[in-house]
Amino acid sequence: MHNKGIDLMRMGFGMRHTLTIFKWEMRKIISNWRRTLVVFLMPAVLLLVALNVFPLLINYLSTGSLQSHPILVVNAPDSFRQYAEDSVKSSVYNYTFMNSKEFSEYTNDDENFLQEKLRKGVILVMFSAKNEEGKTTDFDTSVRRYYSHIANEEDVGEMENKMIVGFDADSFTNYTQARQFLLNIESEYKDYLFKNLGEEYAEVGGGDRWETDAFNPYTFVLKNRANANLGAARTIPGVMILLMYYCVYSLAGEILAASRQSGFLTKVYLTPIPEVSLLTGKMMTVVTVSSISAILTYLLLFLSSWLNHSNSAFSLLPFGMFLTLTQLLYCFITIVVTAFLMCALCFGIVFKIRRMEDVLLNLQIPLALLVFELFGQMFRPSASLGLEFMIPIHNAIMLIRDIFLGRFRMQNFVMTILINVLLTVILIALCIKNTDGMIHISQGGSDDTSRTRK
Amino acid sequence: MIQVEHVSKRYNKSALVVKDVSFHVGEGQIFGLLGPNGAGKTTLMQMISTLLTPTEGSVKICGHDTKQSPRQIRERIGFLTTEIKLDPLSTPNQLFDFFGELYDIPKEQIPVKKKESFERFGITPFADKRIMELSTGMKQKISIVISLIHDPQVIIFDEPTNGLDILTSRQVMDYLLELKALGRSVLLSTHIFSVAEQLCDEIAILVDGTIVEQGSAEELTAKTESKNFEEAFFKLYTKYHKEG
Amino acid sequence: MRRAIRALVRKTFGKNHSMKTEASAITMLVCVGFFVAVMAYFTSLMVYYAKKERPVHYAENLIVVNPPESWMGFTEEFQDSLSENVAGERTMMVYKEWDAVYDVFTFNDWMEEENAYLTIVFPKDFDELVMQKKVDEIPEILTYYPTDYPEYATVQKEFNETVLQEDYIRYIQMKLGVPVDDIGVIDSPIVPIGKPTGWIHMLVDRGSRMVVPLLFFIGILYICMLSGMNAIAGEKERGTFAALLMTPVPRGTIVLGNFIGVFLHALIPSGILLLPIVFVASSVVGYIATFLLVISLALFISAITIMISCLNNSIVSAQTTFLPIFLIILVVCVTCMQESTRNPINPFLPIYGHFYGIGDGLMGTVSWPAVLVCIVTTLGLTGICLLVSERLLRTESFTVAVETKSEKELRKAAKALARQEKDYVSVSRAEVFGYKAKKRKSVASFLIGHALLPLALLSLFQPIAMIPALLSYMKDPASSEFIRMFKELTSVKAVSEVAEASVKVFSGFMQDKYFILFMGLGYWAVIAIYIGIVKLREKNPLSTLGFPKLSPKGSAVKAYLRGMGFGLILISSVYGLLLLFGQVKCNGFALQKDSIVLFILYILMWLPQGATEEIMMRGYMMPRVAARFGLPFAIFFSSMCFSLMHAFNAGFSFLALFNLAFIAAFFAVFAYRSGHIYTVCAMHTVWNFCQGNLFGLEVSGNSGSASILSSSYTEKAGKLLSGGDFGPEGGLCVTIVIAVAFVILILATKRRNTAKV
Repeated sequence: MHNKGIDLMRMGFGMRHTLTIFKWEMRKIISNWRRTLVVFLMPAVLLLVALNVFPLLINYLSTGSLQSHPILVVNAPDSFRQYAEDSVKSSVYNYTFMNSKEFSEYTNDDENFLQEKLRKGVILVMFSAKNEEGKTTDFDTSVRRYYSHIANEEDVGEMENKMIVGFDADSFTNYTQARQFLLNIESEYKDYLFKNLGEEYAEVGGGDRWETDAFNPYTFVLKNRANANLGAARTIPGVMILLMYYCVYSLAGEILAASRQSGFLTKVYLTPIPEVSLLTGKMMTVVTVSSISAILTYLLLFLSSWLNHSNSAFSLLPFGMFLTLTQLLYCFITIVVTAFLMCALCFGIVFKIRRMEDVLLNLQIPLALLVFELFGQMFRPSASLGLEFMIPIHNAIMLIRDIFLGRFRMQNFVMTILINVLLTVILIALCIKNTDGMIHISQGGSDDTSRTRK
Repeated sequence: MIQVEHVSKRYNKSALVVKDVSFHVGEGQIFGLLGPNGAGKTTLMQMISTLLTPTEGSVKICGHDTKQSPRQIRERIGFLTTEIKLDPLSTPNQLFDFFGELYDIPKEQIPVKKKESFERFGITPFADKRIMELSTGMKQKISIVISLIHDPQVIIFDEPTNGLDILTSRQVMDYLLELKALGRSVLLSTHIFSVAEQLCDEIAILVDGTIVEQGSAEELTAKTESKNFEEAFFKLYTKYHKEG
Repeated sequence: MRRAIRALVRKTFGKNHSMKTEASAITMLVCVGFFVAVMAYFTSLMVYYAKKERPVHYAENLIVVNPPESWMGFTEEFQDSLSENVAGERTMMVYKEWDAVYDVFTFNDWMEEENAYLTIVFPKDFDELVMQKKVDEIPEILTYYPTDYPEYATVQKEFNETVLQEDYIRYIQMKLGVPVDDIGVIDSPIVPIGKPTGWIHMLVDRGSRMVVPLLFFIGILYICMLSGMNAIAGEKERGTFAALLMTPVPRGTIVLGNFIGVFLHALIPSGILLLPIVFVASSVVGYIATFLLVISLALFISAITIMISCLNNSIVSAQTTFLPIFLIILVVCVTCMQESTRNPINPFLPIYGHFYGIGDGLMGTVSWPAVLVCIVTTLGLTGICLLVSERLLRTESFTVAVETKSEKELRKAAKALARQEKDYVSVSRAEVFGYKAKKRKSVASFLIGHALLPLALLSLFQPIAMIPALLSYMKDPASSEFIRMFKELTSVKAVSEVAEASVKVFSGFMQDKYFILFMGLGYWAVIAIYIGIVKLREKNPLSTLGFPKLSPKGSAVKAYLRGMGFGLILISSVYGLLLLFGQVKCNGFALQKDSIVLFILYILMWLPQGATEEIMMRGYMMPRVAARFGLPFAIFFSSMCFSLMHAFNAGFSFLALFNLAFIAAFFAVFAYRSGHIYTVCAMHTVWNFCQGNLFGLEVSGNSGSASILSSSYTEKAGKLLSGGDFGPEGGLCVTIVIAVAFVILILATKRRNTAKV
């Protein structure tokens, strides 16, 4: 074996070669931009589309329409019709109005009428009102009377104004949507009623005396962020690491395995540059590209979150996700370190195995495992354990997850970085020890008979 | 220049592929390795060019041992084999620059050298085309140019005229003779007899991993009492090759 | 033939007829790591469900800013309910006073200092507004919470609902004797309709009608894609297919052999799924139906993949072709899943029938005629696909994998080369500042690029310059008013109003030190970018940007000083004209002591500002456009760009557009005649400086402060002459001055030219 001391002496000299290799590989990747785009951007873009389409799809599945959600309103008072027209919030719903006579006719004609409607995702809203004696009466009048009673401090008796929201007992999605509907419009409609029918009560000083955060951009953003970051913690860490590994794996296959297969790597190996330079140059390329791809993924997911205006109950990435600059910095450091680790891992595998098919299969196994990891994280309610930060790569996912959850802890971060860096160094050392892995030797030359001979 | 001393090679636990081979190549000499397929020519050449380490014996080039100081050797040799392909998506220009930097050729010299050698082999019109768009002969010429980019002392060519037409192989052979005149040592493997006969000062015949005979083409023909070199080779092969 | 088929089938299974692969130790380690991670995952779940997770330490205190008296009274009276509702006994209230109600930064600092989880900010006049029976103008309470835990949002929400909107209102209503509405006007329950069928039954039903068929489809489609694309298209790509075609095996046999191979592959996922279903299936007959349907589906999809494989020459292209089919079939599945009431014909059709049939088979509601018809049609289609594939293999273009790719590439490369050669412009149409074009882009991208570059750079740097100003402004009480203006902005609908309001906002910034400072820095950055573009990308000397090395040394400085003089003369004559026409009156010396810093910053800002605009329009754009389209167009184009760049400023009018273009043209001609842009840079700077900071006029719609003199429009000032809000550039006075200057310029240079000859 040759003298390792010379390697160290040539370090400065080697840096330049590292850069040469790095530039060469980067040029190759950039010059072939169309392929690059397909490999590195496509998954992220597809994901963006999927995340946005997924809620739509569920909506479509449950309602059969891509547009606004259908609501069947029975016995709607004028105030509600007016409200539905005026309100911005209720414009996402598509109301069908029916008076109680029509409704009972339909239900009498066809027993399954209501069931079928509900199964298609329709939400039923029924209005009913009882006067002081408990007799059915007009909703709006009843509301007006109610306010008048309150204002005059009179007894309301058996008065009752009801807005009943009905959902399909069999369907959970229908339930979620009904709840969301109520959440969206209930308080606004109440205000609307007070404003339009409660003059008498307003006169004596009823109603709201102040509003909270009616215009407070900061709190608005934080409120959305709280919800969105919890959602993001489920998907983003897994997705980012998965796509990054995908990137590392395809690049390692390309610039190491494939170029060894074609013999070009041997040609470079035969030049008098140190093996370390060759390795680090290639590694830098992989890390750079994969880090960029991870950052792009994050940006796209960020965009996808901020584009998610409908913010329906099924959104995987609710509206308003963001991280502060320090949080982003921690994320970024984790990502780069993990990229190095992944890269060292892939290189280690490539160096050990010669047959291209086997190499690819071996490289694909972590990819498959990361897919499981992604699904696992998606349905994980529990917090991270200290032990988990000792499992390389997995710890990166956990750390980014914790950052999103606002559970970031310095010791976990340090642990993650230390473990990953340590493992990277070990793997690189193994690669350097095993430089023969770079050389393409089909034993005996192109016209080979030695294999058949034995 | 090249000293091969009792070199043997064994892959994993299989039989010896190269058995106890020794030879010397002096300055300004073209040395030919001739042998049937699977005789161990490529393995031998890979050992000489530091890609493989010999199981036994030693190889010295310009006084450096392949095991101890491979880098010094790599600075001094130019190695060409059909196994090594050029990156298909790059252009000759880019490749030349890239290897120029790897071989530490001073920046200002790279364009000069490039122009000179590209013109010599008629690569200039194709200098900005991608390798995959070029013909086999052109690719081989570019490979040769790039292998010799650093003006090496020792040149190791594994079947340089493989797949080339007569015109191009002529060009390559002329170039080799020119290098010889400049005092470079050339180690050549081929199974084209005419090439070996015309070029080589000395030829070693390799059968089943051992050198069975060594000498100039005429000497070998005379020694085996054959009409020509081809017959001499055939006679030697049938004599030393054991079936099974 | 049987041997041939067998050989072909075997071939589709792996290259070396074996499934053995080498695994590295690292892969093993990865698997071990994954196993540990899975164990950790489940441990954490156990911890979670046992509710033994370590609690997070949230902050405890509450900050109340500008507490009104009613709040103090409220907290005293409601102490018990408060400590019950909010975070418990340890909560301490910290009272502060602060005028800037939107000052997040201060509040955040406080919250960190006081270990508080919430800040409640009352407006100053809260009590006055609230402590009356009928509230006319509803005040707004603002809340802030720290960023570190997302849970604070929930805490805030709870606090708002239980304390602010409930107890506190009650308290005040009580004080004022307002009747209390404690029942609520409407009751809105959410009720289930119909009897739930029991979740187990529902799960089984949904599972077997939706999930299981989908699994079959995806499994079969995926495996068929992998193996089918590899079979024929893959061999074409590797070049081994020709050898197979050369053998005396008939084409039909080749197709059949590969087809059977792919089909056997497809049986793997089908078998894996069919086996456990045995235990779930409700009836034997149903299971048989499911079995038959799955087999026919596998046959059909295998045939499709083989056909596509025959059509394509490489794995990638085959996969690309197959992908739409994959998606179409999946969409069919999704429609099947979605439709609760089926179309009566659908179960008879292939794919639809399979999906429904598999589900029905599992649930034991098989309709045999539908299943049989479906299977028969599928088999028919399978046969057709195979026949088509066999036909395809007889066609030359689908069998011989010609090296089309490299030839195509060659042709493309040749074309590109030819285009490039044509595009090298040897003669430019006009040479300004010694610029010569090197490469040629398409007309549209060339012009749009030139027009958008300045816009892009400015719109990048101006907002950046705003950030420090915004941050410093937040702590100012006036900012509260300012932010409320944004609130109004959000309610504005018309575009013109939005534009106007944002201009108002922007001119507010013109008073800010930080903004001016960073604007100046931003302009320097833009200049640096332009120099970078010329030096690094174009690899041209700086003289092509209008900055030649003038000899003798120092004449550049002289040219600059001369420009300052010219600029002063020009703008002074404009001011003089305005005074003469009685449009403005001078209010005398106006520079205040405390605005001296701002004044200096203004000078530092105008310096690069003038230069930047000159470099953009005259130095960079003019020579480059001129080289391509000739000088007249270049002057016209750059002037229009310059003019339109100011189009969003306040009070912009047609005359302003014309005037700005006119000034730009004047500068352009001046720069062209002098051969550099030192002079015009100085002129531009001095013009803007004098206008804004000497005479106190508006600069292209931007009003400045910190001016030496103060001027204002007189009552009789007409928009036509003075330019109104836009400043003198919007009025005829500038037109007159520039016209005169233009004439002088042309005459002077003409004389000089003739003198030279």
